[in-house]
Amino acid sequence: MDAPPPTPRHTRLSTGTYGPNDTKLQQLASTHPFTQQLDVVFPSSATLESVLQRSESEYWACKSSLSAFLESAKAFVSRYAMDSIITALGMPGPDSEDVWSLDTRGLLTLAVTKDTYERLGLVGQRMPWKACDDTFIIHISLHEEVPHDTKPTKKWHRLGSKQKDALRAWDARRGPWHIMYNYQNQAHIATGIEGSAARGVKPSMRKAAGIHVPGVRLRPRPHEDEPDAVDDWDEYMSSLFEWVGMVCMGAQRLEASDRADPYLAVYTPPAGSHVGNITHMRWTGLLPPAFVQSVIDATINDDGWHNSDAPGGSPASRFVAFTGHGVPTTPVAYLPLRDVMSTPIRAPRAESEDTWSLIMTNDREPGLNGSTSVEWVLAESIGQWDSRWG
Amino acid sequence: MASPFGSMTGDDFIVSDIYTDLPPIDNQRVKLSSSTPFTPTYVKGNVRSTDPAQIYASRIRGRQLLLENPARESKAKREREEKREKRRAEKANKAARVISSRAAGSSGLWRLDREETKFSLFLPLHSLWLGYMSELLALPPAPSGSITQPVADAVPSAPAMHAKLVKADFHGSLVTVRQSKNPCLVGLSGVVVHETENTFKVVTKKDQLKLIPKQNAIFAFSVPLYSTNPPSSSNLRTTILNAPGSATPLTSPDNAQTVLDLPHIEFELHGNQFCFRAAERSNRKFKHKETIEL
Repeated sequence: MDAPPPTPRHTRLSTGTYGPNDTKLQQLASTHPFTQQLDVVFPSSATLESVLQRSESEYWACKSSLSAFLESAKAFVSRYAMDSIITALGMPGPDSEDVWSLDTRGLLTLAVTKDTYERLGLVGQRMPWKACDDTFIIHISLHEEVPHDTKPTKKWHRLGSKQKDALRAWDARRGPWHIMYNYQNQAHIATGIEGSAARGVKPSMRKAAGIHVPGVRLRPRPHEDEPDAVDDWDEYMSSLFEWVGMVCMGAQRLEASDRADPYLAVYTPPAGSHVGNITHMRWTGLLPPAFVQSVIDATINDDGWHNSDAPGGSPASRFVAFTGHGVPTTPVAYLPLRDVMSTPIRAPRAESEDTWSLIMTNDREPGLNGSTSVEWVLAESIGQWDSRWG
Repeated sequence: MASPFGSMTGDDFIVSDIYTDLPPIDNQRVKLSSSTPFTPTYVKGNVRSTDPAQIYASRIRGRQLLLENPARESKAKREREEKREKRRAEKANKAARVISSRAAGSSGLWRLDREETKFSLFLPLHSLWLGYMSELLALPPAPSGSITQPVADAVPSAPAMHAKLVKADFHGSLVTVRQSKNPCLVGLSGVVVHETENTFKVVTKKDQLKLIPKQNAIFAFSVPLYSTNPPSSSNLRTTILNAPGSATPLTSPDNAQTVLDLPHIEFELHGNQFCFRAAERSNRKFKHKETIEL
């Protein structure tokens, strides 16, 4: 029996140097409103471990009707600005594939099947792909006013009486939703909406000793005029991100003492690897973008990863890798920095992918008053039926 | 080799070509009589064949020759006949008081003015329809006092009603769009004032006249659970005959009520299967379609 071919994936790499004007890295987490898992990998460093272990988050889960939840959540949505403290996800039920999300803009996005769409009575847009053209996307703004001067916002509804009646009728047909939500700023929010159960997110740490640790040297992509250099660069980046993924999975092939049968597995670590210790930390749960960004910022600002435990503390060993996994069943996976009003359409399925992986190195130049330049490379991977890149 | 023109020997040549002309009648006295008509005599006497009588009988006798184009019915006569038929059909329609749709449209028969587009004005029509449904479905009379009967026992056999409902008239019914390919139509509700082959024209509670296509829509309508007619229907008939001009007090105790305010049974109506005129539906046999999906 032939295995089905893997679904197509799209991957994009971008590089840069971290600085005060580097908006891409400073707002990386805000472009992904729903993250379900964050992995951080770095050569073992006691100080960085202690900093990251103090990073904790929290989210809430409840069972409620959508209309009742929106009545409570509206208090946390800005009335006139595209901003919301609360973000929420409506998970699919056993009998229905309908899902919804409330993102950081205060926009409620419903992804419903054809049958639900024909009964709901709210105008939406059909998915542009033939394979999933029975799914419809509906946008409802929870703000008092919706700016109608842009093309995307003209398709938005405002949460008026007609929309509320439609949602109430839908709740009566469907039953309660299983909802997960969190707050961007949890400092002054002690309790969630009534009937919710709080779930804390604490990091889990795993240390691995005696494994191949790559020597990370990040350079911008060579020009297309040098095809050999481009190929080498692509291959090196591919091996780097493969290594990061294998660490996150706890692969045994990374162990220096691994002697696997080559007929079963053949793995070559990236060029310039040495044997060392690494630390892998993981947060699992509905993580707000602010929390993810705080982890990245705390790592950048901390000296812990500059002084790794690698032999000789070579510059090549000073790196840290972040990997974020988005929630696959959310209709909104990405908010473009340049145009936050437009929402790339995406088919929310359990097999959908929305993953980003960031590797940063700290190339400290000796004798230059401790000046450092943080070079980074970001790999973003999306699955099929995602219009993020056209 | 056999030749179609006869046998050929070295000395004499006998020609028996069937396409050659018969010898002309030259200086011969032709005698015609009914017992010896000219044609068979001439053919039998001149055809060179072993059996000239058989040739005549098989090939000539009884054949018809068209000497000129047949007489055709004149155009004027045909037009006169058509006009006569048309006049006859119009007279029949007039006698039956049938008006064509074009005439109805041009005369504004179904047009409603703004003052006439009031939901309250069509409530009596709706009550009439409830009475019609009560008679059609033979609904039981409402129990006196409070209704203590369990709902499951009170609801009559719905499948038995289906056959009657598909042939019923829906003018005056209260329909709601439950499901539609066009989301703007979902939730529209009103009293049907005009049903055509492909649409329902309804007056909503907000006094708006809406035209709802039947295609790609599923409607919901309700019939009362108990009869809305008074216990003695003969009294009702007497009332109507005696006072034709007066506004007959209708069957429901309160004219402001709709069927939704009474105990009722709700049915779903698939518009795709219902695209027929009301008059045609009464004797139509409905066929199963491939799918009920919109």
